[in-house]
Formats: sequence, C-alpha cells, structure tokens
Amino acid sequence: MASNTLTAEVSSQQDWKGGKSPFSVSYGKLMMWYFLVSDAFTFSALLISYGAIRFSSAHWADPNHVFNSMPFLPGRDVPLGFVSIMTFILILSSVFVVRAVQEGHMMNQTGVMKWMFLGILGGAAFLGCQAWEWTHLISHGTNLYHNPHGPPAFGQLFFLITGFHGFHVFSGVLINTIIFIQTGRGVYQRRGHYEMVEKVGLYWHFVDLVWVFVFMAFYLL
Amino acid sequence: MAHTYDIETYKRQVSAVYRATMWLTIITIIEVAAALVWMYVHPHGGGPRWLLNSFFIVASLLKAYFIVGEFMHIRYETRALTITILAPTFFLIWFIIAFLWEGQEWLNNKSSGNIIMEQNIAPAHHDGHGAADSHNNQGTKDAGHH
Repeated sequence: MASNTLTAEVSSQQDWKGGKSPFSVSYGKLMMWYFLVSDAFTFSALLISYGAIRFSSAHWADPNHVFNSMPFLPGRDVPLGFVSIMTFILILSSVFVVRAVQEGHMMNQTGVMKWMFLGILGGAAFLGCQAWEWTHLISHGTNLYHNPHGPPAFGQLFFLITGFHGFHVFSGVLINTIIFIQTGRGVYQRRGHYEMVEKVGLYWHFVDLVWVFVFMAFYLL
Repeated sequence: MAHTYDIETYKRQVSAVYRATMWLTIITIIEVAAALVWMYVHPHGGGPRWLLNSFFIVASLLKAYFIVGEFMHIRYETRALTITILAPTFFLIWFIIAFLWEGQEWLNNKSSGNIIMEQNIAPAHHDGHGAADSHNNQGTKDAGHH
C-alpha cells in the first residue's frame, strides 16, 4: 500500500518533468478538447442571452403549446412528443459513435464502419426532424418577425440557437462521413490506431451535450 | 495512451456505455413526464414553478455528467486533464447569475417606466433644439424622466 502511494507520487511528479504529455493524451485530442471548451462558452453565451431576454419579458411562449405537433398526426395535440423522439435519436446516435470508438480500440475495421454508419444515419435523422419542425413552425406563423404564441424574441432565439446547434449537427454528419470513408479505405488500419474516430467522436458527443441544454431551455423550462 | 483494449477492458467499457445510455433515456423520460404532469395539474400556469425548474436543471446536469464522463471518456482521463477542461466552466455560474439578474432588472425598468434606452432618447431630436443639444442627452435623460 505504502509503495503504491509512493510510485503514484513519483509518477505524478514525473508527469510534469517534460518529455511526455502530462495529460497523457495526444496533441490533437487535447486541442479538440480545448476547441470544445471554447464552443461550450459560445453556446453558453447564446443560451444565457436567451435567459436574460426571457427574464426581461413579461410574457413568454408556453412550450407545451408551441411544440405539440407530430408528423403523420395532423391536428392531434401531442405536447413535447416529437422533440422527445428527436432527443432520443440524438442520444442513440451518440451511443453508436461511442461503440465505433470502442471497436477502433479493438482494431476492428468492420465494427467501426458499422457503428459509424448508424451514427451518421442518426445525425441525418435528427436533421430531418429539425427541418420538419422548422417548416411546421414557420408555416404556422412563427418566424423572425412574428410569433403567434408569444413575444417575437422567442422565435428569434429559437431559430438562432437551434439553427446554430443544427449547423453543428450538419458539420458533425459531414465529418463523420469523411471518417467513415477513411475507415473503409483502411487508412486507420494501416496507421495502427483509430484515434481520428475518437477525436470526431468527442465532437459528436459535444453536439449531444449541447442539445441537452437547448432541450432544457426551449422545451422544458 | 494505450490505443488497444484487452478483451476485459473492452467488455467493461461496452457495458458502462449501455448503462449510461439507459440512465440518459430514463432521465429524459422522467423530465418529459414531469413537464406533462405539471401541464395537466396547472393548465393555466401557477404552482411552485421554481421546484419543477430546479428539477429540470439538476436532471440536465446529471445527463451532462453521463455524456461527458462516459461517452466523452473524461472519467478515465488523468486528473489534470479533467481539471483543465472542467474548471473554466465554473465561470458560467457567475455568467448565468449576472445576466438573469440583468434581465430581471430590464423587466423592472420597463414596468416602472424608467426605461433608459434609445427609444426614450430619440424624441429629443424632433424637439428642434438642434444638433448641439444631442451632446447633452447623456446628462439630461435621467433627470427628464423623474
């Protein structure tokens, strides 16, 4: 026990003596993390502006009444139904990409391709759902100037923030597709590791993480 | 920085991810259920809404824990890396409090009629006092409204 503590102390000192990464991650992965930290602050700024503007308004839109429509069920009142499905799709897509990362650790090329493909499908499905939701809202009068459910700021912030998030999903789907193709061409198998899958995986989970808070701010609170 | 897992680590990691998935699903279902139940109990608003909102915030932070910890693998990274990533986000606590406070203050200003914004300064230009007067706007606008 005592010797374990001693070696732990020695190794933690040696972490900072140079010659290796003290965080024991590669440069690329560390930079992906720092990019995500900065992106987290961008999204926080957007969501906090939403909070400030909402607090400054005497009335606000009730999400249970704004988001109560489902495709294929016209005229039915299903509060939060569609967005729950969207949320679940994005969570599943994130899980598929974690599985791809894990198969990468096993150097299993077909496994990475299978799970990455499912992850891409999930992302595309989410974007499709968002397109339907936007079209529905716009055709029912919510746009950047008018909002029948409450103050116009609600629609403006909704389209700005879900649009910015949707753009992240869109670029994530593109990047995942590139990684999928590279995996298929055997690039990472030859390289001897699948760290690129890990890096884009981090980005993809971050998109899921942001959705947790966008979902909370616009649909729950 | 080991790139490959042995079979035991692999199995452990896979089951950890499916456990996290289960929790994320359960928490999301409870959140939506809570929102719907609340809507039927208080169809016209009212009730201790802060209680429900606190629940939503705690539940979302819990979901964030599973995504960052398990999916983004930060539970298994070195302590130093975890701190360098998570510590900056604590600035958000101040950021949130300050701006929600500010939003509340804008609302108070609007409802008490003390709006100190451009639309209240604008009429000064139509009074015919000329351009020189616009330099005084900063100094006089407060006095004008009291």
